Amino acid sequence: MRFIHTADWQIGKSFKRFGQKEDTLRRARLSAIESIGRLAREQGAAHVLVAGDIYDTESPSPQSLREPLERMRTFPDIEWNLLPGNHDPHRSKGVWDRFQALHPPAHIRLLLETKAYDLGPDAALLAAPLTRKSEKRDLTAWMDEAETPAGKIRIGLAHGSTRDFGVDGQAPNPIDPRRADSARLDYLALGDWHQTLSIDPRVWYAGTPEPDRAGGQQQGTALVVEIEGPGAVPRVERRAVGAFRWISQEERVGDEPFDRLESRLRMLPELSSTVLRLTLAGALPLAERVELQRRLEAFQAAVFHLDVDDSQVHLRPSAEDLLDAGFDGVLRAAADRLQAMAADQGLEDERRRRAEDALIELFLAAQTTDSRGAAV
Amino acid sequence: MKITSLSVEGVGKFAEPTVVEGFGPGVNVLSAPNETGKSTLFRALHACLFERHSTKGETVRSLASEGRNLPVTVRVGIELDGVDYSLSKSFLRSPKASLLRDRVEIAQGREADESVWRLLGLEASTGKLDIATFGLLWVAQGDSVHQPAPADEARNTLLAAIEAEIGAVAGDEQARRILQTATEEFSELMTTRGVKKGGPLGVAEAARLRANSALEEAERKLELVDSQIERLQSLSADKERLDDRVAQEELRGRLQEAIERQRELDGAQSKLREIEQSERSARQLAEACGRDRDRLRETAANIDRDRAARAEALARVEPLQAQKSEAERSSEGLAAELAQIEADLDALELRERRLNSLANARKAEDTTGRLQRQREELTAWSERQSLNQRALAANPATREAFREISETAGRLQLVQARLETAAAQVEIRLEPAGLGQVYLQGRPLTESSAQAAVQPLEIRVGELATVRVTPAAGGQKAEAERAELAARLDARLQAIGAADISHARDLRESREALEEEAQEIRTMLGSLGVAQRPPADRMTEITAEIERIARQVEAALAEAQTETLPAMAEIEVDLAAIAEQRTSLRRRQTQLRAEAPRAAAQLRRIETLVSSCQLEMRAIDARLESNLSILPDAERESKLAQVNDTANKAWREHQIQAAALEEQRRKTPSAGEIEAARAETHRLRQEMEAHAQKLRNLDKEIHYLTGAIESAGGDGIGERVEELREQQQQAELEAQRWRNRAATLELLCATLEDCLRQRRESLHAPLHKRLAPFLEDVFPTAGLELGDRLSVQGLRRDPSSVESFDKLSDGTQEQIAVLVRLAMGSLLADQGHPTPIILDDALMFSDDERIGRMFQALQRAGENQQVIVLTCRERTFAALEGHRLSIVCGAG
Repeated sequence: MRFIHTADWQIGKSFKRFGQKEDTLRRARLSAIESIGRLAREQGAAHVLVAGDIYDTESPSPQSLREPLERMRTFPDIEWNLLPGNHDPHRSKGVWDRFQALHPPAHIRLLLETKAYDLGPDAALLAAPLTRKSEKRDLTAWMDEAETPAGKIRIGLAHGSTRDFGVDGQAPNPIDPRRADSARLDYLALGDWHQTLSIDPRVWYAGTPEPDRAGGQQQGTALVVEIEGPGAVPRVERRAVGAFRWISQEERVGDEPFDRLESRLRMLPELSSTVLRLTLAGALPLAERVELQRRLEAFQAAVFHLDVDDSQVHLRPSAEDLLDAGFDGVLRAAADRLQAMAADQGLEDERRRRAEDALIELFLAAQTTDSRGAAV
Repeated sequence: MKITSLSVEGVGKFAEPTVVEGFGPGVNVLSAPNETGKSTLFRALHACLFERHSTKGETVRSLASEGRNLPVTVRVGIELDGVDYSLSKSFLRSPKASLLRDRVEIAQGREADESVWRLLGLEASTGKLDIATFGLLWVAQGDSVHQPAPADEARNTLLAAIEAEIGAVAGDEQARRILQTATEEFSELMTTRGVKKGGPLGVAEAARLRANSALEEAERKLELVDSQIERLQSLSADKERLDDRVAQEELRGRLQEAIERQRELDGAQSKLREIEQSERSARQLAEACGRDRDRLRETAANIDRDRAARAEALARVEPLQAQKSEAERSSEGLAAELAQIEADLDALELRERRLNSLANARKAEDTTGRLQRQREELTAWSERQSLNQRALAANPATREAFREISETAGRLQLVQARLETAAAQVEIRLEPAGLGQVYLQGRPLTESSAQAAVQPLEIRVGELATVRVTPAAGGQKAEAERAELAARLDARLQAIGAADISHARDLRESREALEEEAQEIRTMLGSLGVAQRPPADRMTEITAEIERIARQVEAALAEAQTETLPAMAEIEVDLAAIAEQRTSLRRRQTQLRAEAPRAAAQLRRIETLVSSCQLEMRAIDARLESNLSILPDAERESKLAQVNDTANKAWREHQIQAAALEEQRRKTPSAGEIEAARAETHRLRQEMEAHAQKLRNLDKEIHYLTGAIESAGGDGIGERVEELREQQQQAELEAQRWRNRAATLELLCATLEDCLRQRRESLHAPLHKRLAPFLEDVFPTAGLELGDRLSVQGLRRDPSSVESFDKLSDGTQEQIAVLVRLAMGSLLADQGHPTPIILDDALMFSDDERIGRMFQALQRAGENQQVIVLTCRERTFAALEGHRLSIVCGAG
């Protein structure tokens, strides 16, 4: 049999920090559902297993509650199996009671009980829904004892962490990474980890279909899983379903011309649908610091969103800087004083940073202010 | 540079060639009155040095002499670095310029104009030299009161001088502009009291607080929903547990059993209460019968007791009645005696009053004789005064009038004597034949006559001749005076009714006698008490007083019912006897008043005892009457026997009921058992009710929580919290960004201000150095605070405070402004630009002491450079030592 394994849709997630682009990112997450539906049809998969966190919160807005339902409704030939996760646990009068009150069609199945469900004629689906946000027990433990009709493929579906299982201070919602063996599972479909990850050939995290942060999975994926029969090793294929790339990149400045850095950044694929977090470090003369700012402002228009952390770019004004700026007399004295503060390791970082900013401000002001005039 | 000469022609009132003479090094003083043309010469000097000879500008046109078609010609001699130059310029008509060095022309026209500027070290291109350095040091009339405000060119010259001492300076103006821009931006973010409301930082902070508040509120709601969900789960489990039907049936059975048991106990309890009621009724009847029997027996005993008590009271009251009569008689005797004493005292008082009236009448009558004598004397003196006053009125020869008459007569005699001494003597010897033929002044002479011709005389000798003798011209004036005096004398004599001076003297003597008599009369009248008023008034008063005394005597006699006034001695004897009788009566009266209360108290005590006995007897009688109506003596025995039988019968009936009650009590369960059964039933009912209530409460709470959770879920509170969390982070970042911006600007401003302050201090040092000796001359121990652009901020006379320049007096402001100019001149001189200082009508507001000190400062400045002072205050500036300049007109 063939099915699609996905997780962590987190519908309703807020992207306020992106301002006017927020709506685009919210809609991208809904579009990912349609991409998964199309992928299932393309792959001839009759079932989509969603391993938790369909919603970002336990109490989404009515609009957010309905939107995934309506997207899935357009794929009536696909059975969508939805498992509550830690973001949307099943609690009385919670999100899933509200979901059921919307009378979803039969091909959208909620897995709200800890039990084995039929997954077509060939497989049994052992579900471990979360009923609270943070569970200390391993909710998949029951699967070890669960009986399923002979000859059927056993597939486990859960949401939690396999990291540090069994050790003190383990993550909440723990899952024994050896559960597939102990429960004789042919495949354990997991959610929670936002990157595609294989714990062993039968245990997989699907990753998110549309990332929401830089530093993790760059592009959203879903897994196409094919199992020949009970005991067979599953074949798992990653497929991109996300619209946006979330890239985190660190660069040093001051060691090479800006042209090279700019070239490297512009070589990134699909810039217009890339959310780039750029972390810069190094030391620059005043003029170059200003030039860097100018280039970053220009580059911002090339990407969907640019987030720059330049807190580690330090000023190192050169004599040429001061000469070019026409600094003399009081201006020179002020610049020297600010430069000394910026370089004073005895001062707090914040104070030094302010001195750098003041120096840049002085430099920029000197460039835009008429330098003529005597000084008495 | 020094000015060595100045001449003009066609300039203002100097249409003719005019020279200013006397220039020399150091201090030069041109003292001349207002309107002399000093300021015109100052402007001509300025134009010659700094205006192009070809200019037709207002500066030059205003110099031209009015109504004269002459060119404006100015010639200035200057000494530069030991070389003499002479610059002459003609403006407006036939303009020309010529520059001589050591009397040899070295340039003409435009070249001459610019050569001078080069020699003076000034730029030739701007054409604005008059507002530059020389504008600082050449102070026009009225400008000396303003502190020097160097224009850009002047600052450049000063700056060059300062740079020569402290090194190059630049960039400060730009720093100031940057500081201003940064300060303006900072002030949009922060104020002295903190973040500026409405500014970008204020808006960001407000947004952050709003976001925080909204997030906290939403998180509270979310937390509430979370706890509500937990609570709902807990309540659902509780309800499931309470819904156990077996347990509820078992409880219901136990309650039914308890109710049956309680019903049985209640029946027994009810029967016991019935028997108790019967026994209580029987007991109450027996007790009532017993009480009736006892009351009747007691009534019989009371009747016997009251009869004995009445007899005893009657025996006590009789002696008390006798005592009461005796006490009443004693009290009445005392009262009668007191009344008699008071009547006697009243009679004594009446007699005493009448005697006093007689005594007063006697005293008054004794004064009547004295008053009558006084009235007679007054009448005599009054009549004499009337006569005296009439005589005085008839004689007006007062001392003043007589003095004037004497003086006038004296002066007339003197004038007459002078006339006679100067006049011709006219002597007419009358011959017998001439008798009746010779007339003098129209009257025939009867004998020879000789007299001085002090007035025109006419002598007619029959029909023969008429001789007129006319006094000399000088005598006419004296004659007029004599006539005037004679007329005045006549008028005054006539005024007092005198025919001549002798008569006047007699009148005067007569009046003096009358005046002495008047004085004597006034003295006498004064002794009679009428010094200030008419004697008639006093006489009227005396008459009234005599009449009043007569009425008083008459009244006293009528009151005393006698016809003659007794002697005062008799009256006094009677008064003494009355006083003695009254003392005796009052002593007895006091004694009786002390006894009266004691007698009254004794009477009241006896009356009380009698009254008490009578009341006691009336009470006994009332009781006897009442008791005998209940138990008359005739029915006494039969009634007592009847109530005794009834009481015995009721007692026996009660004994039967008490035995029945005891029997029922043994059969009935105890109160504790009954109460325990009732409590058990109540407890089981409560338990049933509590269970049902608990279920109802649970349902209610579950229903409420379900609604609340569904409502919150419907509102999307979880999603809202996530949104607000991001908004809050964004607001925090924005606020932080503006806080950073504010901190950056604050640091930049502080740094620039400090650097500017340091720079200003170093820039001011050379000027302060030159200023110090001048300040010491005028304001010892004081210092000046300089600000931007070498402006004077204030005067520091006290180390701890600075007086603002604007708040100083006009005089002090002008003095400081002049001293700063002297210091600037000194600075330029030290740097090789010894420029003359010219002050036109300066130091107008200085007092004598201060101007002396200013002269000292000017002298000090004159040691290094030329100082030219133009003034209209010649006397004041005489003390300023130096070369005296003079204006010589027509010198050509």
